[in-house]
Parts: sequence; C-alpha cells; structure tokens
Amino acid sequence: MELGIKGLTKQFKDKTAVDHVDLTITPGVWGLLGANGAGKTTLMRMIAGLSRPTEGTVTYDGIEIGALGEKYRDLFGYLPQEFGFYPEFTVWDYLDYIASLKGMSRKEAAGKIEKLLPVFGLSDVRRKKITKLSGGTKRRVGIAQALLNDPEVLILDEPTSGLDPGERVKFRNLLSEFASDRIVLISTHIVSDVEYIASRNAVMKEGKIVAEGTTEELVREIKHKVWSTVIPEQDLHNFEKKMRIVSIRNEEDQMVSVRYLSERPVTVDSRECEPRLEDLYLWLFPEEGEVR
Amino acid sequence: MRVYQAELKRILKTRSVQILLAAAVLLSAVLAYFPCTFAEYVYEDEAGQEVTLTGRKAIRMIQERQGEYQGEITEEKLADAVRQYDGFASRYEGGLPNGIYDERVTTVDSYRYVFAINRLLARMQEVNADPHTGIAPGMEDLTEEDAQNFYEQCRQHVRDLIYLENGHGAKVDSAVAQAEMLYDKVQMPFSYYPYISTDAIEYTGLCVLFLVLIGMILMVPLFASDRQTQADQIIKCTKYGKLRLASVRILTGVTVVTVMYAVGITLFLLVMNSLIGWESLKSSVQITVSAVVFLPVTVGGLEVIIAAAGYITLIATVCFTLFLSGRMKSVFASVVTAFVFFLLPVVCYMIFDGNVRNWICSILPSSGTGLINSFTYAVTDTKFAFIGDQAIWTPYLMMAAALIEIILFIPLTVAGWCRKRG
Repeated sequence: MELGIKGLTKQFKDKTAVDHVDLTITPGVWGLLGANGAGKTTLMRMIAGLSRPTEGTVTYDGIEIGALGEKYRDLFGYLPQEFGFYPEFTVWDYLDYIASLKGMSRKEAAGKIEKLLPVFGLSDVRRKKITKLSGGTKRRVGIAQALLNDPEVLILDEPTSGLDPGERVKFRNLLSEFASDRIVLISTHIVSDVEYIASRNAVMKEGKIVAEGTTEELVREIKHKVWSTVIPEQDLHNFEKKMRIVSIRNEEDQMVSVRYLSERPVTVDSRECEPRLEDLYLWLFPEEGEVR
Repeated sequence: MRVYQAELKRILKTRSVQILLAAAVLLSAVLAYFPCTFAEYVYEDEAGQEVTLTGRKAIRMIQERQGEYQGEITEEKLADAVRQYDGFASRYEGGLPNGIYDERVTTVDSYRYVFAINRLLARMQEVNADPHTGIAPGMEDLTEEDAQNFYEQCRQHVRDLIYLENGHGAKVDSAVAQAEMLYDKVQMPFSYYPYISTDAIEYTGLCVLFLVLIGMILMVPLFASDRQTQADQIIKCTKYGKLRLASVRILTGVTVVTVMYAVGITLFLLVMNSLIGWESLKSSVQITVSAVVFLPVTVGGLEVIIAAAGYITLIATVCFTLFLSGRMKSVFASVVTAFVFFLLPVVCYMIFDGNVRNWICSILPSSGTGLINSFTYAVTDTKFAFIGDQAIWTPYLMMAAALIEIILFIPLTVAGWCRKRG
C-alpha cells in the first residue's frame, strides 16, 4: 500500500500553490505541517481527486488515481477543511446518506454508525439536526463520515480545529489504532496533534516540501538551537525583539523562564533543550519581522 | 437503488421542496376553479327581471338552453343558425349592421336569440374571411349557402390563411401540404357540447406554466447548493459520489417533478372538467377555438396533448436547470440564470419577428410554456418555422427541440458535476 506523489504542481494564475511535490506515503500516520497558505489544502485536494494538478501525478499502488476512479474512492476517506451539511439532516441521516454514497448497505451502515457515534461522543445528538450542533461537534461528525468505510487512505485536513483538548487526545488515540495498516495523512498547523502519533512528517513551505522524515529525524535539524533561560521580567520585551520565543513561563521574584530558538545561547545561564516538532515548526515558519 | 432512496429522502426532507410541492398542488386546484367562473348567462325571470347567472349556475343554464345547436354540427344546423340570426336581425329596422353590439339589442335578447348560435356563426365568419385581407364578413352577411359549404370552406381557409400569413413559394407550399395532411384527419362534422371555452384551454396552459416554473425552482439548488456550502467536497470523494450520484440525482429530480406534475395536472383537469362538465370535452377544437386548428382532436384530446407537451417541456427545462445548477458556484447565480432562460422565449417573442422569432421561440428549453408564447398557443395556431424550402410546424419544433435538449443536457450535467474544479 503506497500513495505516490510525483512532480505534483498546482498553478493558480500567478500563484504556484503546490510546486513539484514528490512524496511517497506509506502506511502509518503522516503529518503534513505548514503555515496557512503553504499549499497543504491544495495538495490534499489533488490527492482526493477534487482538483486537477497542473503537472504531476498521484498514484495508488502505482496506478494513477484518476484511472482507479470509483475503486480509489472506495478505499478513501476525506475530511476537508471546510464543508457543508444538509440543514434538514440529523447526524444519523447525514451519516446514513454518506454511507449510501460509500456503497454501504443500510444494515452495514447502521452497524458502522452505531459503532462510530459513541467513539466521537455523538450518541446523544444522533437525532439532532446538524445545523443545531456546535462547531466542534460538526467537526466530529465530519471525522465520523470519513471513517464510515474503514478507508485504506484517510486524508484529514485540519481535523482537530474546534475540538476541545479531551476530544483531541481521544481523536489522536483513535487514529493511532486505526492507522496501523492504513495510510493516514493529517494536515495541521497544530503541531502537537501529530507530534505524538505521526510516524512520518512532511513540512510544506511556499508550495514545496522542505523537510520530510520521522519526528526524530526532523527535529535533529534544530539540535543545539533550542535553549532555555531565566531572565528578569523587565528584560522580556527586549528579549522578544531579538529572539524567537517558543514559550514563556512566569517564575518567582519577577523572573520569567523563556524557551527560545537560536544558533547559539544568548545568555550565560542558557541551557540547551531537547528539540520538539513545535520548535522546528517555529524555526521553519518565522513570523514576519521576527529575527532568525 | 440505495443511493436513489437516500437522494430522494434528502430532497424530500428539504423544507423548500416540501413548500414548493404543496404550492404546486394548491395552485393547480385554485387555477382549475377559474375557467368556470368566467361563464355568464343573462335571462329574464317570470317577473320580468333581468337575472345574471355566473359560474356553475350559468353553465347549467347554458347547457339547458343550447337546444338543437349541440352534438354534431351539421350543415343543416348551421343553416338553421343563419336563419335564426337573420330572423332576429330582421326584427330591427335596417337589420343589425353592427351585429349584437347594436345598441338596440338588449342583453337579454342577445342571450335568448343569439348566444346558442353565436359560436357556430363565429366559425362561419372565420372561414369565410377574405383570402387577401383576412377580414371576416359580418354575421348579417352569412348565407345559407355559406352554411352548406362550411366544411369545404374550412379546408380552403386553412390554405388561404397560411398563404396570407407567409406569402407564396415552395416553403409555404410545404407548410400547406403538412397542414392539409393533418386537417384531412379532422372529424367532420364538428361536434359541440357546452359549456367549453378557450378559457379552459388557456388555463390548462397556464397550469402547465406554473408547474414548469415550480419544477424549475425545485431543481435549481440540486447541485449548486452543494457547491455553495462545499458539501460536495466530501460527497465527491465517496465511491458513488461522482458519476453515479450525478445520474441518480438527475433521476431523483425528474422523479420528484414528474410526480408533482402528474398530481398537479391531474388534479387541475379533474377539478376543471368536473366544474365545466365532462361532456363538453367531446367538442371539436375547431368549433371551440378556431376552425383552422390542424389537430384532429376534441377539446379533451387537446387537454391531454397540452399536458403531455407540458411534461416534455418540464423535463427539458429541468434538465437545462440541472445543467446550470451543476455549473454554477452559488444557488443565487443558478436561480438568476435559470430565470433568464425561462423568460427568454417571451422576451424573444417580443423582440424578434417572423421566421427568426418562430425559430428562437421554439427551440429554447422552456419554449413550450409561457404567457404569450407556448405550446398551447402554437398548437392552435398556423405558425411554421422555415428552413430552406422546408416548413416545420412550430409545435413539432418545440417538442423536437425539447427532446434533443433532454438528451443533450443529461450527460452535460453529469460531466459538469464530475469535472474537477480549479
């Protein structure tokens, strides 16, 4: 089982959203990281067969997905970043409707929906109209529909936006179990979502894959660049101007503990920290005006 | 079947669909009531008071007082009608050069002496119109000889009218030949059973118009709303979310509008014909509407033909609307475009003239229905669209175009839905 992406490019008039991306996605959870506008959604839409690439191909086990057609979609699950529901449908109606489009019989669909509802905490709202649900609950319905057909390839675009921390943890655990023999690609800019569960990550920047590997491999790039120090609170403003801060924690006696990114330590008492994926993300995607 | 059922459930659960379907049924029943309300009969009661009856009461009175001038309208009955009118006119000094509109003629007298024969005399006037000017003679000019020659003259008048409207030449000869071929099958003598009027036929066309309009509105959001809300993002990634869903969605849409149309038009015809009297449906269209109608059918037959043509127009309009719905990014854009195309035949009817008008107003998806341009009017008219030396009777053209559009827009709609977006 392998999803092959070769030379994939998407050009929108004067903007290259995805620029010659090459990626071979194997079973396991893959994190697709990148800032807003990096091209993650466009890449996912092309993998989902929703958008036509300007150049390049997407293959599943060596066969172009367009040629596979219905067969590809039969083993595919997709949660887009933004999507609509039918206002008159309840949670059950909607899931049953999608199940019918996924080629599931009524009995098969009912069994699967019954299984998924408690997993996503939707049992109590099964007869509620989707329009009446909160954003997070709607998102959970979206994830549930993607899993209805036990897809071999699951593509989730920002799946955890709108979920509370408890739901996020549950969701991560569910995905870890689910992905043992499947391809799961999660696009997110919430790095912690994939940090613990992703077997591999791809980092996108300006339409290109700028880094790819396991979390350990990726964070190796910023080894010796993550530091922590304790400084007086009054110096924080100046420190923020000069350094890329990852986190700040208040300490006693008007002191603050700061985790920062830098080629070398900037205070004498700085001590080196174990780098994390979030540090890499901030290293690769500096906010405008920030010093690297 | 599972996808079909799921899609049907989705459509029928939509509030706007439920409201529109209910509106279609209600509107059909309300429209059906109107034709009988136009019936009026005036008479003098035993106390010498003028009494005006309307609606069902008037219809009953008209049916009672039609006397011998119903059933088969033979030359003898026509001659009797001429004699009766002459006798009535001779009661006035100098006759009635302005017919019953003469100020000396009271309403009661016009109903008593002329109402029953008026329709027969009008048809005689029509067929005896001057072939060069089209001007019909007055009632007082009709003779018993005209009555004896009536059916022969009907056929001649069809020729005269087509030549008068289109000039002469090979293409017009072709039109005349087609008209005569159809007219040869018209059953003669004509039949007449009151109460039937052109109102009933026009309202059948009006009911078709409203049902097609509702059908179009029902179908507008079918694909476009999914694109607008981005519900299509998920749907198109499902196994059956492309080709099969598009095909099933068209089928479901057609099912919904078919049931709506069948219920609406059946209800309309049942109510209207029950109110005006079922026997009147046996009347010849040539007596009821115009002596030059080519179609060899009774009024009942014409109602069925209008309803059937309305259904074909509905499906053509629906297929075209679904095509637009699949192409547009928003429901609003679909609604506006669908309405523009729905009204286009009427606009073209007002803008263009002659052969160009006949073509344009016949080939658009909704050409078969409209307030001033529709199958209902075309089928009782003598309009032809010409191409080279060939003539095509416009109702034929309307139906042929509609059938082609149905065949054309179904695959285009499916392709539009399956197409990958930017």
